[in-house]
Amino acid sequence: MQNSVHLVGKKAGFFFLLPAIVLISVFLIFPAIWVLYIGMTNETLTGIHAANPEFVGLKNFLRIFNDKFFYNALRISLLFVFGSAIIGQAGLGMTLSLITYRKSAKFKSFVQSVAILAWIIPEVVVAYLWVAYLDKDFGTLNSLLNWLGFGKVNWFYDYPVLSIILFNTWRGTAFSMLLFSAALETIPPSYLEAADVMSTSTWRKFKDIILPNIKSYIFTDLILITLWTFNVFSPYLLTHGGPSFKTELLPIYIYRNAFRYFKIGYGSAISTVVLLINLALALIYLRLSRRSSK
Amino acid sequence: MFLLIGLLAVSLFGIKVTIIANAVKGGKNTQVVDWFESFLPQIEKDLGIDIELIQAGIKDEDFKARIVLDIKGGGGADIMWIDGFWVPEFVEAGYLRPIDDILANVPAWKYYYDSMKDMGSYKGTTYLVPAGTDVRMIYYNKELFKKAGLPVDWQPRSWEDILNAARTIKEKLPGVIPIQLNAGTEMGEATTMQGFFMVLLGAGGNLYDWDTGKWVIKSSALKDTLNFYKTIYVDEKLGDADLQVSPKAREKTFDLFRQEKIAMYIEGTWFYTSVLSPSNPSWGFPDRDERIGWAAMPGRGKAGDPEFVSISGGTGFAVNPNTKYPGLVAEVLKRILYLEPQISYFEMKPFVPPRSDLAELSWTVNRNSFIAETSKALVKYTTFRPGFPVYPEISFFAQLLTERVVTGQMDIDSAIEEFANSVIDVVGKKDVEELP
Amino acid sequence: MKHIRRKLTFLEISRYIVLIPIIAFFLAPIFWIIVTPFSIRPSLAITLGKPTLSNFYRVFQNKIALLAFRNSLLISGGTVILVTVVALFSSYVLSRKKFKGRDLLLYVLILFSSVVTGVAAMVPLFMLNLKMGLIDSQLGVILTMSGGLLPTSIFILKDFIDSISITYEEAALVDGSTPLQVMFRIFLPLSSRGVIVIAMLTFVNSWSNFLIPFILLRSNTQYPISVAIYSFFTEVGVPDIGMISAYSLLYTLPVIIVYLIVEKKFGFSFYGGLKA
Repeated sequence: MQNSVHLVGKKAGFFFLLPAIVLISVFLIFPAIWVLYIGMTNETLTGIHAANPEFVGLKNFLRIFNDKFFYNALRISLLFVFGSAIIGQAGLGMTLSLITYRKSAKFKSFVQSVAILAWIIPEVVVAYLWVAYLDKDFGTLNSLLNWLGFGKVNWFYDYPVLSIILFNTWRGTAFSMLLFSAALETIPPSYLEAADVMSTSTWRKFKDIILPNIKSYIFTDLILITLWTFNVFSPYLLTHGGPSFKTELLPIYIYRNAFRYFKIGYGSAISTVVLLINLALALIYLRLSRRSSK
Repeated sequence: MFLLIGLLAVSLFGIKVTIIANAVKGGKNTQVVDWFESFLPQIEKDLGIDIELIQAGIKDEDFKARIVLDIKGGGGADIMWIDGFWVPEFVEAGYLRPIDDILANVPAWKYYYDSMKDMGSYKGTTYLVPAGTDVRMIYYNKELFKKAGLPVDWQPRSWEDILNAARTIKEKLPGVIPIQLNAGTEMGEATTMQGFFMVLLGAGGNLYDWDTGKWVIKSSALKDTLNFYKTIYVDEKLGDADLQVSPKAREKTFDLFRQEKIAMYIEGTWFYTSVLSPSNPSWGFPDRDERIGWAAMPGRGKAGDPEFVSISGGTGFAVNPNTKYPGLVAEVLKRILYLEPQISYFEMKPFVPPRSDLAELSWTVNRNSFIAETSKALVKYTTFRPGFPVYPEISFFAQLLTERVVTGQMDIDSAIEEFANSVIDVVGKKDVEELP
Repeated sequence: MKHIRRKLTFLEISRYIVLIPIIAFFLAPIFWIIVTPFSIRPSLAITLGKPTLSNFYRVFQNKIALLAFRNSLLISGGTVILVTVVALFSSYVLSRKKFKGRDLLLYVLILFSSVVTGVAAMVPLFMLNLKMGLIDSQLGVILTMSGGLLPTSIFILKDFIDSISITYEEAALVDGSTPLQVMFRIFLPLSSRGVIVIAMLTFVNSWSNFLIPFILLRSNTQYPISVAIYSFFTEVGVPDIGMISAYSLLYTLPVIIVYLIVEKKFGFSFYGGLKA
């Protein structure tokens, strides 16, 4: 296969790429770099630094590293990503894809639709759904638990992080499920049929046949959902970052600074830090995936 | 002079003056829209121009963001109906046009109380014409009081009186939250004004020392304030601490008050005239006037403490520096401030009048006994928030302070220490002081 | 024989034991949106009673609510078309012409898109659109959203295209087709699965997006549903649950319809071939 020969020709290739280059440069790269720049000023949207922002270099970053609220947000974000993305979405997604593997199309379709429903309902709506679901006094979940004989749980107050983990798991599992499902389809059926004939245990089937074949998909999934989950903002609609900042994820912390207090210099600096964290995580994943595919 | 130029411009082009308010027909503050619609057409005819009311009807903080972005982008409505306490930070950012020249042509301006004029000004220049103000007090449910054996015409004279009433409620009416004193960051400015300040002022304290020009980061008044909070929320559980930090806390407290599960609630004029109003389907009491009483908020009760306290805020009309027709804006503003539209606004949404000609009208304003009584009783005690650009940030620290204490996250001394450090971070060591 | 059958049954049972709670987990919260829009006393609690259409009636009477629907369709439709077309052309090139650092470049772009969809980019995006005269226009919203959604779409589509054998294009070019003809006659049908995926992803993202329309649009009449829904307060500024829930249901339906159509036609097993 000729790698460098551009089948459609260099000129056509260039024009094909042009719209993307223009759009991305203007509406993505340019604002993103602007944000990086603002992070080095003390610009605010009101007050004297709105009229006269000053370049302060790395001062904002120093403030961030001394800010208790930053570490709070970082800790909560890490917990959140670990719980809702890695264990939650990927785990549940894998479970669902395995359950529907090699089953009838109708069955698969039904199960997948249920998860997808949670994924596509608009954010605003989902927020109301979950506030109603987890409310202490009249939430659906508590009514159910009550009916089953358990007491009512004050979800948002006593288990704030767990609540948002449940929420985000519910919300995003569909993607991992679909990706893993497709990944499983790429395994030649003969492998598993052979295993069936040999009466291999389910666990060994998973470990020795399935897992090695879908490793790259697992990495792709993990990196995407880690990145997305790190930047997800919708839990704000449920808890406003509370109670008492206990669910203030990094994006919510950025929001509070940039939008509520209009400290866009500081907020942009935090954005930059988050970007760097995400970059680091991406590099770790890349390294791991390359190592394991050797 | 402006008028001449303005009229000249009008005769040449089709001129439009825009007004923006956080109101939308059929939604938030719908009466504001109705009010404007009732008299703006006449002004349009008089001046030969178009006046457009831009309706927002969104959350307050979103509205603020929107106005800021509008002005920053070089546009925005000519006349903006904004919250008074945004003035300092907006002025420093260059977002408001000084209006002393405009007000020179507004005859009604001379009737505005000095304190009101101050509220709309910053560093000696006026930027905002107050539309209305308010006072704050304790509301209590007379029925619940009756059931608990407390006097229906209740007027406490010290913090201890309040606590005793609360204790009685707790004992006699289990299941009813005795008192709601706003705390925590979730309720935002409502915590600082209706909660924190009302208590701090009662102990003779303040956030800002007007004499020295410094922010007070530690004082015994501050400590006593937090002790009061602690007594209510931690020691004797006369209030619900969880409630303060739950999402949508304010709406929840309104719900509970309506369900008669809260006996006393420290709030402002708007609470009575809008939230509890019989015409409000969500939280209104049909028999509000008989059922809900109000009492002035007393001071701490020690010698030298203020007898009663109140703090006021308000909204008003400000002018966009990007406006193309200051002369016309002056003319429009002048007419909005005529007595007649002010009276009709009052009848739709009663408020504490910021001007004497309105306040003295016996046949309307005084007919609203609630406004008349509360104004008479409390305007003389009321004060205002420190009008500085950094105030909103310091207000947040005060809210955080109460939050940490009522949730038990920190003991009072540590919380005050954190508060002091945060304030120093923002204003610098020079501008703070500690008082005995 | 018997041995295998028993094992199968155990596996089957355990499948359902695990599956049923999971299904319940997914369906339970949705209950509220099914019940509340039809409720006479709509609130955050689920109150079952006689169903009523009064909430919907109020939504349809609200001019802004209806206009917002049109705006949402315009914005989402525009974004989907723009992103899909641009992504198709660019992923093709990026897939066929592999260069060193391609993947890293895409990762970096995706990272940037996470910055740009956050609140911190609010001012730059606003000023950018302002300077281009795009404030209060749907076009500005479409372009801005597309910029943010392109990298992910290109990233996903590129993998699909990698798996399409190059012989198809070789054959077509031998036959004398122009590049554009190759794209549309050969390529588009072959990569339809991937195109559907990114179209759907883009639609869902743009339908929900609140921040960008909020920052860039000014008039009530221009707002899409994601913003308009926040303005349904009662006069004291408390959310009008009846209207919001009814409106939310209507807001959700197009997405569900799109999904069902796609599901029926293509059966949602995407990611035909994927390389990390």
